Amino acid sequence: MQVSSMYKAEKGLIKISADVEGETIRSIRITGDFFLIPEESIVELERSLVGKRLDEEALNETVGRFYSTGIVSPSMTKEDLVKAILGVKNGV
Amino acid sequence: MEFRFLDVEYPENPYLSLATEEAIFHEVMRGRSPPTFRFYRHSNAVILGCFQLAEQEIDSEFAAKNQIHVVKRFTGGGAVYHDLGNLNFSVITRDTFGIGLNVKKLYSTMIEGAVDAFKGLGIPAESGKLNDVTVNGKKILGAAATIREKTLLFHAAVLVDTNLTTLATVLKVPGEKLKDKGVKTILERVTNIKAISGHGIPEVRRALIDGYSKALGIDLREGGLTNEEKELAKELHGKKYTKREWNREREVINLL
Repeated sequence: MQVSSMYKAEKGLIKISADVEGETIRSIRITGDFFLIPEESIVELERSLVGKRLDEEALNETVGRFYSTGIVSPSMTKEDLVKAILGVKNGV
Repeated sequence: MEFRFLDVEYPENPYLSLATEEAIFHEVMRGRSPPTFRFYRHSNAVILGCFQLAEQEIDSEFAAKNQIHVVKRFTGGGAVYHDLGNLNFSVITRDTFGIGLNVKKLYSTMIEGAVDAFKGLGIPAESGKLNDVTVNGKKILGAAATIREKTLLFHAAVLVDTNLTTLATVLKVPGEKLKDKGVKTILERVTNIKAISGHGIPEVRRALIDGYSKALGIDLREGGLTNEEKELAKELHGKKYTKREWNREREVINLL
């Protein structure tokens, strides 16, 4: 099912829309007015989330691994991203 | 250090304008173009951050009815509205400022020149949380920046004499259900330099040139685009900045 949510980080909004089956992410798109460098890495993050469960531990690991590749995002933290993604659970 | 001063704008073609921005960044990154300070304007355009979706950020019907171009830039951040009362500038340079990957430092370093410039005009400007400059809590400058291969790009939009009603109508306020309330909210958060100090674009340009020359310790020398930049801009214009997938969806198009 299609679900979406919005999360306010320190500066800016993270908007998530996802296709979720049970608690598993089938596809996900992350949009908003944040900064993430390098910019095109957003696609890798989205791809790495496919097949992951919507639970904090699994998401922490996936997002953490993404950041460990040298990603910088001055307007949001790893935790913001995880919380934003978990937010779609309210719609499941 | 010497910087090239570029006065290259395409007010009616924001697609080419943003393609040119990326072309310059690329050529500076490759060491083929000098560090650059550029001024440019757009006559009627919404510029989206690269992670944004047009449908979420703008009133598309209003934009279409008012012939407002909708173009995406290659940096993150939020949507802005540009008319000829809005002055854009960019600083594109190899990292000779010791920024590394410290984006917050990049913003603070680059915003200083603008804050000094505005203070020089008698405007009590303050730098905001990260990427904006405010006066009494109202935004007069919004910026976006990126770093790639030890090359920095910082670009900013300065509200000098922009039609704020158009700005507030075309840009959606997130989470707002009532359009009227949304417009009011945006209008409470932005202001024009002209309304504060009476200065227009020519004075703001002069102040920014002085501010950045001092803050970055640079000399600006008038120059033009290189042939490589023009060619690359043309290619980016055709294959990226005029594409619906780029401007309206959230497709990543990376030609470089």
